[in-house]
Amino acid sequence: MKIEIEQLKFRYPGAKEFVFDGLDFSADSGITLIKGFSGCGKSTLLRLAAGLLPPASGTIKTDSPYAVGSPRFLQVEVGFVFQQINLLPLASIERNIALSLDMAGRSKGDAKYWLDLLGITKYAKKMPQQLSGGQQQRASIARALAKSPSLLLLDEPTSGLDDLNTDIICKAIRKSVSQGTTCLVASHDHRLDSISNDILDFNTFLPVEEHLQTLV
Amino acid sequence: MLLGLLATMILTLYAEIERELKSQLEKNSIYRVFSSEIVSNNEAATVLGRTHEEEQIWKQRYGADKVRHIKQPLLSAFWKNAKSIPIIVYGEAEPEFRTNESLSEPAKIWFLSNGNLSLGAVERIRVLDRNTVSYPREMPDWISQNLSMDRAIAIPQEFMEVYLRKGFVNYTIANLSSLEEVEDYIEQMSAYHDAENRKIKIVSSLEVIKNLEKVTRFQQLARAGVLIGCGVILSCTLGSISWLEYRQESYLLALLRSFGTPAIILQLHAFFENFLLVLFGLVSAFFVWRLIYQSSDTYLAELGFEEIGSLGLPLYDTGIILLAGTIGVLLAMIPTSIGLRKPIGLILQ
Repeated sequence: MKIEIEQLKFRYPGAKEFVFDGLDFSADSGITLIKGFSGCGKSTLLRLAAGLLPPASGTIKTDSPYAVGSPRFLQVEVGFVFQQINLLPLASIERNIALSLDMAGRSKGDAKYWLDLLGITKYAKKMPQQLSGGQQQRASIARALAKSPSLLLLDEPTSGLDDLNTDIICKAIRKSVSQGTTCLVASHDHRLDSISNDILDFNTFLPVEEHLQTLV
Repeated sequence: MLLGLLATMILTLYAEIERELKSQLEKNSIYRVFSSEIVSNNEAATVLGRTHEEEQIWKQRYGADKVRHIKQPLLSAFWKNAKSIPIIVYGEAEPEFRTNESLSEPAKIWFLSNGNLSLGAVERIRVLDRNTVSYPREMPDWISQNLSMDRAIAIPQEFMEVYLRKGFVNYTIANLSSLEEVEDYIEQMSAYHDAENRKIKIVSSLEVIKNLEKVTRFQQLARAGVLIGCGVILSCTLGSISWLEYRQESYLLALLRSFGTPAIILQLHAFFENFLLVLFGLVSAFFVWRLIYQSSDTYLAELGFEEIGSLGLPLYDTGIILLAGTIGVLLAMIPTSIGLRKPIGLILQ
């Protein structure tokens, strides 16, 4: 899927300043790494791309038949991995993934492959709170990848993880992208530089906040 | 449960007031009008000359069996060792006392009592300086109730003309059929006596009837108010619970929406959840009411409350309950509706 963002403006309710003030960006199949200092808008960009936030102005276009942000778009096209994982707390890992597949109209058998690839098959029947942070992270990624989304959005997918977990996740992302997925990854993690096809570095065109400058 | 008890207390209060008023009416006889006129010796001759005509007017207008006239002279009869008994005078128009089969046969003097005296076939009495006999019979209810007498001597008017000219009390007792007739009778009586410049005192249950109607009217409003009030309180309670629940579950709702769950589905879920809660509450209320009714012996029945089956509610009350419940359910959905308008990206991090 190709995604094109034109003249995007966005600010949070009650905020005076825009997070984005006329951003132009596009991405196609492959992995685009979005980098920048904390608070520059990396997560916000992912949520705008999924249609989870409404822009103040500008357009976000994809070649999907569904409107960006519509229920159908979210069901079928988007796989989102949140920074705070966000698994359904009262459902097992297996049920979390099955729900996502049901919504996308996919077979539940698709889940097994990704569970195996991410090494969490034996935790399938456990509840999220019974898993470690790394295991929950992998489960969240499995949920996003299982429905074979056209647009995969990952917000700090390797935050706080060791190298082993990071390698497993990178492998899974590469596998997904090989099937034509457009992947946007918001991360500080330099270990992801090697898997990315393109980098959008906010540091190069967004001014660092003053209070951070004084600390450097 | 607390709301139901409060509602029951309010409705019971109204029902108790209604019962008390009805009890007063039954004592006073709902459509009975009692009027009395004190006629002094100056007016007695004039009034006596007109009473026959007046009696005919009222009897023709309202029915001979509905309006009765008696007079009480300003003297008493004596019976057995100077026991004083009041005298009432009956006219030609009171057939109840006129049992003489022909005009040549004189009308009788009756000894009226409530049956608590030991009386013979005749009883000797003394009126002024004259001894005479009287015939015992039971005191009619309309005399004992209105004049508060347990015994009296009933004498035909023709025997008492001379004494009546010294002054008397003129009583009229009307047992009418409807509130409209009572109002009309009182109006006509008052107007007639005002025109004649005569003072008359009228006692009726009209005020009590009007108060009863007022209470009944307010009871209808109170019932509607109680039901709507309960509906509002319920909706506020459900709404508060819904809002608290939403704040707790806003994250969950946002997560489900991020999977692509349409907001309308979540809205319908909230609707059915509240609907089932209200339905459960109403059904429980029926059974709880039955328990309350059964445990209160006959008191609630006396107040006019009924034990209801599942379909036994009057249509008016059923309609109000359903309307209040529906409004409550819809109002309780407002917090969820407002919450579902919030962008998912502002909730999920």
